[in-house]
Amino acid sequence: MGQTGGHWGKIGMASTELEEEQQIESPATNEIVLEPKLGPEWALAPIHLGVVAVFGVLFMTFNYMPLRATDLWGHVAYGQWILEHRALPTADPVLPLAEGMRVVDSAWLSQVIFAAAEQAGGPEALSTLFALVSIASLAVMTRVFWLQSHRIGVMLLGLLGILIVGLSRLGTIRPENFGVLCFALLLWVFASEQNRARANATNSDDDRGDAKSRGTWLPWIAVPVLMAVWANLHGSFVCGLALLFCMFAGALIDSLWHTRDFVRSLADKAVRRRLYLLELGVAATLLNPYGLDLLLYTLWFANNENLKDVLEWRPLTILGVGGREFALSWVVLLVVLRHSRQRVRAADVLLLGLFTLAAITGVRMMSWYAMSFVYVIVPHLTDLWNRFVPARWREWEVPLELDEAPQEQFGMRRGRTFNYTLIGLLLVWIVFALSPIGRPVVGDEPRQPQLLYDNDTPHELTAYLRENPTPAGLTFCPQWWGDWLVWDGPEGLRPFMTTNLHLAPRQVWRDYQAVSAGVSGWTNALDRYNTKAMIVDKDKQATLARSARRSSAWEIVHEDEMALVLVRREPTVATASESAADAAEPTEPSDDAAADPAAAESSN
Amino acid sequence: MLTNRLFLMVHAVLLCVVVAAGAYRAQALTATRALPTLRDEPLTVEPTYDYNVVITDEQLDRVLTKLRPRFESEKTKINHVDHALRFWTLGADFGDDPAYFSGYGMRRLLLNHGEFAKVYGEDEPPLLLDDRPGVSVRTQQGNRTSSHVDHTMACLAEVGTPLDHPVVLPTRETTFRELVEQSLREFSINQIEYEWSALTYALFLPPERSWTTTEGQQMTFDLVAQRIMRERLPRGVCFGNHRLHTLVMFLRIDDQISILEPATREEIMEFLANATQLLVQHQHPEGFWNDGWPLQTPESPTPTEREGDRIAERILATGHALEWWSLAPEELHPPRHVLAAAGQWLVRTIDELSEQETLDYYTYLTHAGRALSLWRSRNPAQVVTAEILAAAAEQTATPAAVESPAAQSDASLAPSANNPPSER
Repeated sequence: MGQTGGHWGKIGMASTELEEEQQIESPATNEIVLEPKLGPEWALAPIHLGVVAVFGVLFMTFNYMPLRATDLWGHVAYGQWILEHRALPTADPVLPLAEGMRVVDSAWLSQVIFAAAEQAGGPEALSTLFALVSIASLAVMTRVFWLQSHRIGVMLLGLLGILIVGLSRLGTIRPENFGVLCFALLLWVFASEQNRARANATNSDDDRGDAKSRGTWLPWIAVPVLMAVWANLHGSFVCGLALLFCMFAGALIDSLWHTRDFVRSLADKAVRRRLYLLELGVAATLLNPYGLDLLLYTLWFANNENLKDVLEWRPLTILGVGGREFALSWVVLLVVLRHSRQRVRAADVLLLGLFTLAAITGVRMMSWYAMSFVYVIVPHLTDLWNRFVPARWREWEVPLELDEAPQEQFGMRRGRTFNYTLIGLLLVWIVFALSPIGRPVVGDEPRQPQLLYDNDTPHELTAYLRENPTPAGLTFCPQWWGDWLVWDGPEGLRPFMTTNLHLAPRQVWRDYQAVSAGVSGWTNALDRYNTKAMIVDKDKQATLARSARRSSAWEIVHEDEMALVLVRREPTVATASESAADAAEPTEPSDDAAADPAAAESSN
Repeated sequence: MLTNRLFLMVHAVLLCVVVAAGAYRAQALTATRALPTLRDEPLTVEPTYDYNVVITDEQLDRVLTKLRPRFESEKTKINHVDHALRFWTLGADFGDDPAYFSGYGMRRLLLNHGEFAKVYGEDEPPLLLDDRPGVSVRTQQGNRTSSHVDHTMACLAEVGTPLDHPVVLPTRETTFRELVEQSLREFSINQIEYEWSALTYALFLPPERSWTTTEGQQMTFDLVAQRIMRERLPRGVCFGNHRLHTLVMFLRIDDQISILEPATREEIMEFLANATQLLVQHQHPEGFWNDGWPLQTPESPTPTEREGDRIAERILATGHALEWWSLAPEELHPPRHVLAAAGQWLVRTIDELSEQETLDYYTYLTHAGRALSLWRSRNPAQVVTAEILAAAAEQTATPAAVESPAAQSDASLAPSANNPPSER
């Protein structure tokens, strides 16, 4: 090993071996000569340390991200219900007004994982799970970019691209995270395949044979397994099917372009391979508790009328959530394509076109768009990188191998050494120790609730409610707090609305919006549901809060910085008569209600 | 090439199989939201009591004569017509007197746009709306429209209109089925007024017990009953009395064909028993109630100016209470003297109403008149015979003192087979 590994090269060596080796060391020099047990690929270069540092920072960021009082808690509650009942719910277990509405629980496996994590390690475990899944997704995508470019600089640019374009979805903690990971894994399968194809094209015949034998079987196992698991994790598995279809259709179009003969195109091995993968993928998604119904339900899901009132299901606007990132991505794409000499593949056009359309029609599709966009652009970026980035800059991303003569640059050894591997491990340990995930190991106190949950989580409210439960019956609450109230509030609390608003009958949702916006007749609408108590978000439901304070029908029993709690006063003849007379007057949500900024959360 | 063609064929077949399976499942899932099978003829609920303590024969003749459905030409209000049809039924026939509607005449006005246009003119927006694939009734848009959601439809169902009964729209001819089916399509369990819709479904759906709404909610009569019981009393139109009436109808229909789970039935019984208790508790000594019937006893024996306590609302509250009790199982009845006091208060009040007041309060009075008839198990159309009409005409010509309300009340309280002394 010589100088390169130095005395740090002992990684992986057992202590007894070390002792034996020490005994045969030369007594004259007393210098320990270590032999590496790890392969040379484990020796890192400074650029690799940079990558480790980037991922360390990202992991810490994800792990420190506070848990939000949104649908996460509804999913955990569903998961707990499933674990308790050993069955899937057929009706929403927490939303009483959704009785009779069919539940197709497309995220049951994610919910079980959430619930199991929560049972094992409390809310902190959910944060860790989120961080691990998110970092895994980014790591896989980074690997994809590496396979596409073999340039660390491009790879990191790709990572940056995903973070920027998908910025609006980064803090989302919900089953969608598992879907994102599955999408990344599927892209990895195709990137590996393309990488092999490139290698086959450039290598000698012998090398080609090796390459073929190494991984051609992988997609046949990976795709069906991945799609089967994904179909049970989250409804976004249709994005996976879309990807498989784009890959097949792209291969077919490319083949048609060359052959100009449809039947002959079908003889193309790549076309057939992609078609078989698509078919396998579709078949695998049927392995779920609902069978084919899940696919149909998922396709219909986006047509739910209630969801159209929710921000993340609304079409993208340039100045709205995700809009700027989307616009920027297209500017970058046009510039890159203008200068790229790389061939544009049909599959890429289809993929980008499909997910651009999806993102335009619904803000929540930005995660998938971001990954597709960067996946498509990276080969072109690589071309530009190779042509326009000065060679001396690019030297840094091609580390010297272990057996090459070391070079110093900026006071650092440029090549690979196991010293850097150890520094990398140290970085990993530092990240671990400083992150919430490491607190139990390093003996640190768990995070305080103020740090664990985000500022919009109404702790004080649920603490009050646990001590002073609202009267039995329905409790009106902001839908974005509904899941949290069920989770952290008193047992038996019956929320008027939760983030499962797609399960609420249309009329219920409209009434909810009307009340939430504090439109005239809101108290009458609440009486129609025999609502016994009301929780108001003072910030996001300011009109309702003002109106509720003035109402003689409701009495404020609690007020804190974020919320008001009111209970219905016993009716008098005057109020009863008034409400009976009002009963025929409909309450319609105003534009304000429809534009309810807080109605930005929905389950799934 | 052959292999390619074979490959193509196999995959084309595969694609067809997948698409067919998807289409089949999609169709099956959509079918769950299809309209339920309806009975061709609505169920009927017959009265079962004959309590003369509530109203005597003579009083009933007089009251019914006064409450005949007047034809006011273009001033006729549609809510008078549908209320009157429900009260008088299809059998109403007052000879050739053009001042009054016949039962069939009322139904024609409601279901035939040609008749409607004859009365109100061609320029009047039609009562029946062509909402393809269904028909709906213009509601709460003035005197020439229906006053409650699905009330007109429920009235037609209560009088036995079959689904194949012709309906004439300005644009086409169809049947009553389209009206009921359109209501089912538009129904939401949480809509503001649902009582008449629910009643119609209970008359047309059994033995079907459940269906799926357009909102995707699986509906059962149990769920509908829960909805009806959900709100506090006296919330709802007519001080919550339509809710009580529909619940009673559910119980009576459940006696014929099971539509309720036993637990729901028990809950309804409890709910109605509680309503009865509140009514007994808050009845004014004179026998009437007002808008606050579940909360307190009216303070003044004479009507006040407060909305909810005027004479019209007292008639409304008292007439409706007597109406739902008249069809309710006997265990839900109040003590007999409560019924008698209420019945006699209604008779006295109706006797004292002027012709204009009778017209003004007519919709409320139809409930009162119907209740009084039901307590005697009489069909109003059969009570008001030609002889009675002739006698009434004579009385109008030579006004005679009507029997004093007090005397009538005493007479009606006389012991009878249906009125054991212990319950008085």
